[in-house]
Amino acid sequence: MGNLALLINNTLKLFIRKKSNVFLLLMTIAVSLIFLFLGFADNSQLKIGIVNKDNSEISKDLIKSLQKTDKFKIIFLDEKEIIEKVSRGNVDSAVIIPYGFGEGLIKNDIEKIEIISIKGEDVTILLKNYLNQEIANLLGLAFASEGNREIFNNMYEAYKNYPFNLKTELVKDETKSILATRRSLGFFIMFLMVNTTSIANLILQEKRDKTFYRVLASPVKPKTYLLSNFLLNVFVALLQIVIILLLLALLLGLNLNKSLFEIFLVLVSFAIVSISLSMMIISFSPSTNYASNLTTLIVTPTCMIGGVFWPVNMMPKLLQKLSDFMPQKWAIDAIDKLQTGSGFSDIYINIATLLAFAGVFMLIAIYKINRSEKMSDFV
Amino acid sequence: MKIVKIEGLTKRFGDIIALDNINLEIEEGEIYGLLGPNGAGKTTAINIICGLLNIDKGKIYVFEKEIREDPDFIKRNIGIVPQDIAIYGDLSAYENVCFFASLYGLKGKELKESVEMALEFVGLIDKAKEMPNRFSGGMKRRLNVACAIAHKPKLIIMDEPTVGIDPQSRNHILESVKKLNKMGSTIIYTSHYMEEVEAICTKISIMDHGKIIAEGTKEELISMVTDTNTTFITVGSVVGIDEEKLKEITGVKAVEINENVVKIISSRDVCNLDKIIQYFTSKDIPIKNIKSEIPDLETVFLTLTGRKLRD
Repeated sequence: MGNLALLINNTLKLFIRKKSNVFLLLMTIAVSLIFLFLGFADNSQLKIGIVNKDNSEISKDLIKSLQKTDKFKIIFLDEKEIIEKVSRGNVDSAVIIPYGFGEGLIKNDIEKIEIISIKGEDVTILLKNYLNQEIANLLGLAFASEGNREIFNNMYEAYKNYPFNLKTELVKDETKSILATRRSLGFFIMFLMVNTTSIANLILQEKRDKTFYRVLASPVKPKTYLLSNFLLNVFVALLQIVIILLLLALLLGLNLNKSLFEIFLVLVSFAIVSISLSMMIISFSPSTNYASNLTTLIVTPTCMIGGVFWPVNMMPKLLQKLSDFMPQKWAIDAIDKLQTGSGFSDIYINIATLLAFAGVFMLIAIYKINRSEKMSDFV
Repeated sequence: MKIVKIEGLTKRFGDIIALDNINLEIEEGEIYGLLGPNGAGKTTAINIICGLLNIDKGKIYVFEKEIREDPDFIKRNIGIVPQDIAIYGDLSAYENVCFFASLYGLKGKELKESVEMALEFVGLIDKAKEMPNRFSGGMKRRLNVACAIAHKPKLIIMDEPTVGIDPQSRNHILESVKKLNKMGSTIIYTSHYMEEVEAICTKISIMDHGKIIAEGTKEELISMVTDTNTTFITVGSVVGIDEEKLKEITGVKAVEINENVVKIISSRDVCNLDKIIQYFTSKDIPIKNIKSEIPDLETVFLTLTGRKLRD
């Protein structure tokens, strides 16, 4: 235990004396917060193209309700134009209200509204939320009127004239907060992967500087040395996670409080995966440069496929399947679930999967390190 | 007490045999030199004694304990000065020595005093707070030594500790080796500089291609390859020199005259230079130069391997 503490203390000293390492740590938190603020500051309206095939009073009112919000700019389109306008980016998303939508709604047999977008959930989730909320209210009326058109019309008139807007103003829209937090934590995850490698890289640095040799010539066992680096890495990751979560939850008052501990568990599990991965990377790397390049080669593509930069469901099916093999996907998925009201029982599989990734990476690293007795290291 | 005893040690790296059936014994109090060219197997042997490499065959006893029996005890009593400078550039000289000494269990006041003593010993106490990044090569080498001796080891292993340094630092290190030995440490000193090994070692092993090809004191090694000394005398004129008369001088085995140089080969165990000079002065033959060729370890290595040490 004595030597373990000495080694951790020494590695920490070496780590923080290098200014670039401290800069990287601060940047991780700063960049994550910048993305969070950018997410909140984005007040631009989404351009929604609408094809109203129904043309009933209900569908017209539904469109008006969208127009009333300051979130959407409505552009009426012809059905033939949809693909062109969406693909060219003239509209962020297109909505097709089908024939008989109003009539079906009264009969409680609703025709589904189609949403077309190539920008993914970032755009559609907000639109879906508004439409779902409005349609849910109308369905409530239809249910109460039991299919009687006259009763429905009376209730609908009352609903339109009743100052419900007072109530809707009180309901806090968390869509943007969820998206901003997700993006912010996504980038945090990416930087966490880079940071953990920079600490694990100290092993290679010590090998290069031959201090590794001198340490192992003392009564320090190789596994104690590796454990000290691992524990320091865990400590630094924990520190970053605590800081970022406190900033997100307390300073910005985000809606993490309900699942703060669960998100903490997810991020810690991911940090352990990341540290194990970095141990595996250094076990295969002959030099610090090689390890840095290998890290970039692994981190960036796996973050892309794992849904750090964009939602997994907007990628082709093959990549979606491939994303199951990316630890980032399991972490982001757990954060998404927690933000939309799920609890620990819904994410324990994610945590178990992350820990399984960590176990595999660590076993490979230990196997490789134990087997490396290169002549060039010693002669 | 035998500090190190190696029996039939073999170590392979893949197809390469780094050490081939090595046997050696190092007595307590010796400065034991391992002399050999680069790649001879000196560093591999040292790494094995330090417990850093596994062996393929053979037995090793350090402090009369089998090396796997109590590796912690063995490591605790060894100080290693690696061939490459192994110090942290971002820690001060004091912090470097302090960290490595603490790994050997030194704490508190004892640690502080030992660190200061080690820095004092290598002449770096005034630079204790400075970062080694700013040190000269020689100063770094001295700090490399300080990191190995602060915990007062019984056995100090120095693996080519003078590579690439200025003569002043080299002399400082060589003097340090002698002092450490006088203070009670046994030293294993590897080098491919035969002058260093000749100057400080009490016993020497010559290694080549993973084998020990000769072992003994300097004199014993030299006597293995030659029992003669050669003297070259340059004279003004060779007229009047009688080779037969010269051969009659005690110890002279052969005489050759080549232009103005007389080459006289004598037995190593006979001191006859005064009689040779007397012969020339009695004949009024002016001596312009006298050069004695005494065999050294380089000659021994050349004779035994057919190659020079630094080939």
